[in-house]
Amino acid sequence: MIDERELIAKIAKKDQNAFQTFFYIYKNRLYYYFYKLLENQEDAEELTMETFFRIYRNAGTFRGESKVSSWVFGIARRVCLEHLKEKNRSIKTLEIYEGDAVSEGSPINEDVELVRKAIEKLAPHEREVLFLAYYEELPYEDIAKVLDIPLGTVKSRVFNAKAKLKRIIEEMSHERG
Amino acid sequence: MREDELIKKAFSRDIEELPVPDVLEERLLGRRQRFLAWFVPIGALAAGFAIGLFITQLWHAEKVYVPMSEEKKEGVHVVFERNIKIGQVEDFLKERGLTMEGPTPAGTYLLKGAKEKDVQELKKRGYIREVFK
Repeated sequence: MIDERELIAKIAKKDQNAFQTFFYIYKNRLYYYFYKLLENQEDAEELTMETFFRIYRNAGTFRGESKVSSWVFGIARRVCLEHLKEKNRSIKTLEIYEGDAVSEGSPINEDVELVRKAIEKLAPHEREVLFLAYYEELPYEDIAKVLDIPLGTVKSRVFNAKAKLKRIIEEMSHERG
Repeated sequence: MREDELIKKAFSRDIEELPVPDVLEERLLGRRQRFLAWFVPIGALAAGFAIGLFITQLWHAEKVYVPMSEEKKEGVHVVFERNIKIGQVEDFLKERGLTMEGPTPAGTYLLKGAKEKDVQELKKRGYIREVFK
């Protein structure tokens, strides 16, 4: 089992092998994160690169207070926000509207492929919060730091995104007959 | 399957199937490899030079230090036996029309204009401990 904290410590000392290992652990996850947020391959490429550069440069600043993945996605999100600012695109694309809380409804019990298709139909910001919470398994406190929002907002975002996902799955199931 | 597992698996499959461009690896690690391609041989060369220098220094420490300026002068560097009086040697050299310079920091003397036969004679008399040509 690779100890990511140890890798970061080695990267801080400019250990190239550690950086290479770290790259292979995170390249798909980071690329996916950017690709799904921005829905643009070139931008995803550039931002993934930039994130790795920052990880390499700033590894020494990792204090080990959170999960390594929280730190990585914190950097990734900052990179993304800067990119959007540069392109004069609204950060609203990453901000969620808090209204319209949806009831939890019945649990998701469909097959993986259906859930996957439903995730595709979510808005980027909804996908982002579910990705961080369910795929990266970041604690809500860490997600709050990554997204720079209060803990309560994280909870409601996850709740709303999940509720919407369920609704989409239900609709898709009805369509299937 | 639990809800959270289902969502995680859906993301996993999505990530697996999203092709990550090779250019990413080439640009990030390829750059590093190019960096290594330049710096590893240079580093090896520098290390080799340093080792060579170290060995040379060790050799000199074992032997004696002969200054370059002295080496260029015509003659023979020698180390005299400890119990020899320099006056005795000077007399010998004077007889043969030779002069002597030294000692160097390493304790060697330069016998200016000395030839092989002069050195042999000094050796025969037991004046010289070591000769550097």
